[in-house]
Amino acid sequence: MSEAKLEVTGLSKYFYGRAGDIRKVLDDITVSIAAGEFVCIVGASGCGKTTFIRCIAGLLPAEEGAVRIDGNLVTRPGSDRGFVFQSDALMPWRTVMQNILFGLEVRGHPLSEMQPVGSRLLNLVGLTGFEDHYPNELSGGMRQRVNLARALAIDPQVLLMDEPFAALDAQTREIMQRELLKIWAKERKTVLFITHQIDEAIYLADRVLVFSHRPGRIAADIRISFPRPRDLTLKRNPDFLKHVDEVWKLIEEEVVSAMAGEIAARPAISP
Amino acid sequence: MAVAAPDQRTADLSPADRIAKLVAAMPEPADRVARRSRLRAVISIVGGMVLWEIVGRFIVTNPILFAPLSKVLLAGWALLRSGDLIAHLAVSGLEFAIGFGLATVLGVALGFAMATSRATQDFLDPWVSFFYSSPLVALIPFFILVFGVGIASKVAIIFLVSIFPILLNAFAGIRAADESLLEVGVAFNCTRWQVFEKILIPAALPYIVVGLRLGIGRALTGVVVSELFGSTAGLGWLIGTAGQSFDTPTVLFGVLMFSFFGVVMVEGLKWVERVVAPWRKVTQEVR
Repeated sequence: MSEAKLEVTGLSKYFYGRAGDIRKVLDDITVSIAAGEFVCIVGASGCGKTTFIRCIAGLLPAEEGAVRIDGNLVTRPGSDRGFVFQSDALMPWRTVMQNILFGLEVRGHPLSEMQPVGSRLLNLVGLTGFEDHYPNELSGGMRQRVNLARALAIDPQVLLMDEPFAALDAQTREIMQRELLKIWAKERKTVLFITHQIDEAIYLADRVLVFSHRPGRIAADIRISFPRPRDLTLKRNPDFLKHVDEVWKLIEEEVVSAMAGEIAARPAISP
Repeated sequence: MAVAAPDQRTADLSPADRIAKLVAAMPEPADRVARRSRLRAVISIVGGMVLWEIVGRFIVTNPILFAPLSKVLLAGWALLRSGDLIAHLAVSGLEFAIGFGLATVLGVALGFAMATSRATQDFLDPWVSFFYSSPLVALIPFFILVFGVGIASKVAIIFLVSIFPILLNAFAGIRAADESLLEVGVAFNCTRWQVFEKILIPAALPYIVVGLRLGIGRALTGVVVSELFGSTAGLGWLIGTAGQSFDTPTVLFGVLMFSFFGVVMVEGLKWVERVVAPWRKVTQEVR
């Protein structure tokens, strides 16, 4: 195996309730991701996958264990990681171009130096001609393109994507998946992509990590070896569907057992 | 409740009528709607002026109780020619500018301080609640005792009545900043100042404009009431002395001037908002 770009060792995370209760959200996660690898994390909602990616981004502190990028310990956000937010989180008062260049601007790069970078990214995400538009003039898919371009602008080593297509309609989501793979083929970043959509994970990834339900744990690490470039027709391939089935079974058990636990824990209420 | 199928409803119509019906159902173009809105506004204003003239000339004929618009404008013209109007406007304008200017600067600053520092909020909150909910014009006699009948007592009262809506809206604007945008700031390693400058202030801007709009109304009230109470010059003083000498046209002209400046300032504020916050204009026009 090639040297690890992103290494997570023994990561655990707790949430402290108002009533003094402590809940374990992530349980001893160890995973190693190679440079240029595209890894997807799937899991039912509430399994801690968003908490996990936030720990890697440095938005949340890791209480036990460590996150390393190129061997360097992560303690806070840094320019080695680009974060693509679930809600596009674009600033309504900034144009598309100004939103894309936000990360460079706060690092104090001069404007003259930023324009070519901005134009290249606009072209990369297919938004040339929209540089002076405001976010509220764009569709959801276009806004996510800007969100992605903003993360890429700081030229990060690792791209962290937190369910970026979850709010898009089914057709737009498929198009965006294809576009993302095209962009990734050009940029060759290490990608960690969170989703609850199994077919999305399998279509995009080299590796799919299946998270167990509360506390989050890696239940399975599945290698997806379909050749690239991948076409959307891959989703109808029998081998693809076999993978979908495999992952669904893993998650189904988790969801059902978790739901059973919740129901058992709750006092019975008569209608 | 029976609902007729669409084909049944239109079956007895000729093709031309059906097309006419479809056309009637189409939304009107926005520019035509806007043009008609403007036309209606003009008709309303002109109609109001004519009505004022008729009521003042033929219905309420007692000159103390009311005056027709023409007499009010003539009174204004006389004030303008004598130079009194400009002199009084200058005094009131200066009071307003200083009082409202101070209220804007301090209101925004304190609002920001309260929104970003828990301790500041804890210390200031009781006082803000107290002053915001009390009728501050009741302090006018006190301010006149302390600062005299000159401009200082007016500035104080204008400042005090207009600062709280500005402060509270600046506070609310910072507080309403989108949590996910703050997270973008963190993710991109912004310094505290950068978060403030590039995220919090732009997010609060629309709220601040609302605060200023409310502040303008209160400040104008502050000008009139404080000048009526005890002063030597100003538009409020003019209204007060004209009232004491039963000069109804001048009284009404003074009121008209206040309304005029209120409208001008609120419209000016809208213009400023369009310049400093163009993305908001876009929202209004697209939707």
